[in-house]
Amino acid sequence: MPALAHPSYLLAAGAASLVVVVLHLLAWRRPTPVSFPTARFIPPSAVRAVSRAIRPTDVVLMCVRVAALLLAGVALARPVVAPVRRGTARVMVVDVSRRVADVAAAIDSARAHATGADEVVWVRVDSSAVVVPDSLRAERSQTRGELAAGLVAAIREAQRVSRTREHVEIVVVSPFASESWSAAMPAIRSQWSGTIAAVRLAMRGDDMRERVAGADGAAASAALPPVEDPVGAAFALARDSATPPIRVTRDALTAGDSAWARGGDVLVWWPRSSQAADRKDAPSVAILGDGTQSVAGHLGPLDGIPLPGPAILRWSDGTVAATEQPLGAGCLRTIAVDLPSSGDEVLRPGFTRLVRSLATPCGGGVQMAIADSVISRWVEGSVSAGTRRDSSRASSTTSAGPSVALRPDQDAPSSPALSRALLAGVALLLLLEWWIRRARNVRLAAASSDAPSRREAA
Amino acid sequence: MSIPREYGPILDAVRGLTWPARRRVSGVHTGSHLSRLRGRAPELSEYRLYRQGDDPRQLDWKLLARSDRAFIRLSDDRAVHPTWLVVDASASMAFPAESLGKWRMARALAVGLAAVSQRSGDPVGAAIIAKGGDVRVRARTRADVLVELVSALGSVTPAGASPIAPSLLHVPERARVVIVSDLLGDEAALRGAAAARAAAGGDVQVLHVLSKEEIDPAPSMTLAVDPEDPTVERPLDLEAQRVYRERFAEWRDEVARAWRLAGATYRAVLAEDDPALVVRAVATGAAGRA
Repeated sequence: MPALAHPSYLLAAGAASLVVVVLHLLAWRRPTPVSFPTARFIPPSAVRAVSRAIRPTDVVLMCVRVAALLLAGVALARPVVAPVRRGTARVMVVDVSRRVADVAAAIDSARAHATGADEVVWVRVDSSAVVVPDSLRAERSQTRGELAAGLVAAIREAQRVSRTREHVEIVVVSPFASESWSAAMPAIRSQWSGTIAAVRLAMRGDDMRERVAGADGAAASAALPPVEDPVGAAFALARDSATPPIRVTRDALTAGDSAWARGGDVLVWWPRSSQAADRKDAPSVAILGDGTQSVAGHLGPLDGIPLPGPAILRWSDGTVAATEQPLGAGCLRTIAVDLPSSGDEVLRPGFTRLVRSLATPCGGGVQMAIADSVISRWVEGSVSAGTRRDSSRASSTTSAGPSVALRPDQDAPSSPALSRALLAGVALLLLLEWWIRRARNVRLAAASSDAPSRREAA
Repeated sequence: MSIPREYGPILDAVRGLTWPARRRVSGVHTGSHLSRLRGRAPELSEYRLYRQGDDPRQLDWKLLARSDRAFIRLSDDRAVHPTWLVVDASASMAFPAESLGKWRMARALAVGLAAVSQRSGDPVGAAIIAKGGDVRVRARTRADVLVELVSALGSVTPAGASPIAPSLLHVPERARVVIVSDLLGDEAALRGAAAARAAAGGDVQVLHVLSKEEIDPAPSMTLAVDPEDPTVERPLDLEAQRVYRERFAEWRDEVARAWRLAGATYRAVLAEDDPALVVRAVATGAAGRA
């Protein structure tokens, strides 16, 4: 079925053709001469006059002109003769990030779901998305997954193959870890009107748990400030067997701290206050990102602390109190909360629960995955951009996802040969139009030269 | 050959009408018009004393016997007045194209005036100025001159643009000339020739044939072509019509004034008029349309 890349040209050509038809109906034409003996007393002027006609003049000429205009419009509209679309295609988005328990099993599952399709496109997703030819390496990445990037690539591939395939389906094979999910997922989903299937994989948890608990089941290693420090005392009190390897530093970050985080562990930077004074003002309320926990006390914000990454802790007025930034395989949590230097507020149960939530593994912990209900609604395309995660810890997802506009492929390959042929046809029609006009003028000239003799004969 | 039925009304209408000459004629043949010659007519006009050189045959011998005075008898002589009809048969007379009104009027006027003149005993001749040569009818007093004139008029179709002025050279100098034309040809030359005749004492009458459509063109007319000069093509829109009416009226006034100054009797005739009334007006010398 031929299609037009720029149908506006054809519309313009149609409008121009209409104008031509109207001009042929309202043509300057030579009125019928009437013998008038006293014509010499009429002031001389142009002999042509406008006259309306019910039937268009020079029907052949008008048809040739209209045909030339329409052909030119079609040629400029870049006709595309699309191939016949048949069969099905699947775009397999395979998550091979660090949260995938068994990459080989994931690939096998993806291949099983790809069975039966006439064409399969593989998109490998870890921290980036790569379109691979036909197979996936069974290697797990050590980085966080970015399903949004994979979905963008998958939609582009789906639009590409949809020109030749009748049915195109996107299959996302992923554990749907919360760290791989972003707020942009619903917005990206809305860009694809076709079908999306979600296949949940087993999430990598055992080794993480081992990493958290250690091989002997004891608490993982930790580097905490001394217990004289309120932060050190709070983390020492909150730390248990579920706490992953964590390093809490109150001073400026060092290369060792960065190496710690890049190794896959949690680095908490809780800077000291520059004003060493007890807070005597009214108690402030800090709220976890998902609002599940809050703590009230003589807390206050630390000014001048950069807070990169998503918010995981907010003040009651909505300002950010702490963020988590991925750093290698681990993460850096920056806590901009000023604590009282005296008192037992940091040792109270509420503050201990808050500190324990800040000591969970990066990306929400080993148990954090997007709920099936959210996945189902996302697959159906009914999840809003602000959907909260099924998470037990604070995480900032209130901001809307990035505005992703996957524009349809405007560079669809037109048929240059067809366009050239149409333009050649236009040239031929214009030549024919010139020839018709020339022949008509010659005929009129001959008729006008014969007119006096005919009158004399009459 | 008989006269076609279309001339019946005009011939009936002018029956009994006379067309006296405007001044004494100089013909030698006895006719119905006052002659410049005086003497031998039977009707006494006046007596005059005999002078040496008078014809003794005009002496009134009985009066001489009674009174011993020599008087001669004088009487007003009567003579014929030849009438020549010069009819324009150029292409411009074939208007309107559907009815040929101007040409029909010209033919009716020619036949009517010829009938009046012929019945007065005057010789009637005609020159029909047509394309390919003039058609002439010799001036005669016989009754069949009307038939000959009608036949000549019927044989002509208005066409071309032949000049009229040369034909006046062939008309006898003392004859009464009636020019029936729309004056759209060689009007100036014709007027010059007519002025010469008028100055020589000739009687020249001009019947300027016009059409109402010429005075007020039909709105449907969009492109006018001069039938005598096809190169003259003029579109006739509303503004052009206004200018045309002004120019044509000025030209008619100028032509009428010029012909009268030339000594001719000018009379404008509409093709839609009754030709019998026009003939009567011409014969009686009534004032016509300016």
